[in-house]
Amino acid sequence: MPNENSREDRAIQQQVRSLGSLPHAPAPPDPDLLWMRAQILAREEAALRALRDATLARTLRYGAVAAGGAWLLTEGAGLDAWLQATVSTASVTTAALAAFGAALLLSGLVLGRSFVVQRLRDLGLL
Amino acid sequence: MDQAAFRSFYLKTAPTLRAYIARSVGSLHAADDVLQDAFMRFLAKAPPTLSEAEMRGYLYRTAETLIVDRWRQRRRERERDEAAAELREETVEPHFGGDVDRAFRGLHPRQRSLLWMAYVEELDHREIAAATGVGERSVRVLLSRAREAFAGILNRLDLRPEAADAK
Repeated sequence: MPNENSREDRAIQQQVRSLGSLPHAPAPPDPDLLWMRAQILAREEAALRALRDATLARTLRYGAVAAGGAWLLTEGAGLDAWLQATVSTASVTTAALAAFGAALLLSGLVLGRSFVVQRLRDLGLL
Repeated sequence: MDQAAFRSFYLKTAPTLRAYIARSVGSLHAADDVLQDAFMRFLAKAPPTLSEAEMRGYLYRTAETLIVDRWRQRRRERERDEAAAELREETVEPHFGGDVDRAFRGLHPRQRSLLWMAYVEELDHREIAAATGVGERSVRVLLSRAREAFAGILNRLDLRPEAADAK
């Protein structure tokens, strides 16, 4: 490395080294307490994950039953008939509102990206 | 990693990491918060296959992120409510108010951690490369730039390295 051992560099290294200790500081936090806290948090997260998975599975199950019930109420209409009925009842206004809402959401996400990322970081999700 | 291994790693790593954070934020109280958060994230998310140098690098990177997040949060609070933020603003504790401390805080976080790993942790270029995830040659260049930046700040503070060395 060029100049690494020049007098100035040695002085710089010395300055940085001088910052390495904290003679006035009390002892750092107890590692066993940190370990215990981490274990408790890990268990809580695992329980939350399991709950989320169970909720999702239940939602899907109920959704499937409800969809089946709705299909039976249409007296077994095919997907094509269902789609046609839906498209014909959807008004232009609804489509315009949906497009406007999507654009609004997208611009909000673009403008507030750093804020959203920061919030996710604060929550420890990033 | 089991509890005994963590304890041993912590006792080896925490004192210098804590000093690094305290010198970076200018407060021991804040440093202990960041240190705990960094180790908690390490325990929760660090891949189990890391070498010791990589684990150290992971911790330093996490601490850097937390320091920057903390600074951003304070800035947002200041912008939101200037009067209230003044009350909450972190003041630099007297132990960290020296010129060299100020110069160190004036560095880019990446340069701070490079200088620290090289001269306080005394890692060689290969270990720093493993810890930071950059190439060994890049470490040489980045370290040289970090030294220049530190010397520049010391000069601006009228604390030329030779002069300080002679003190």
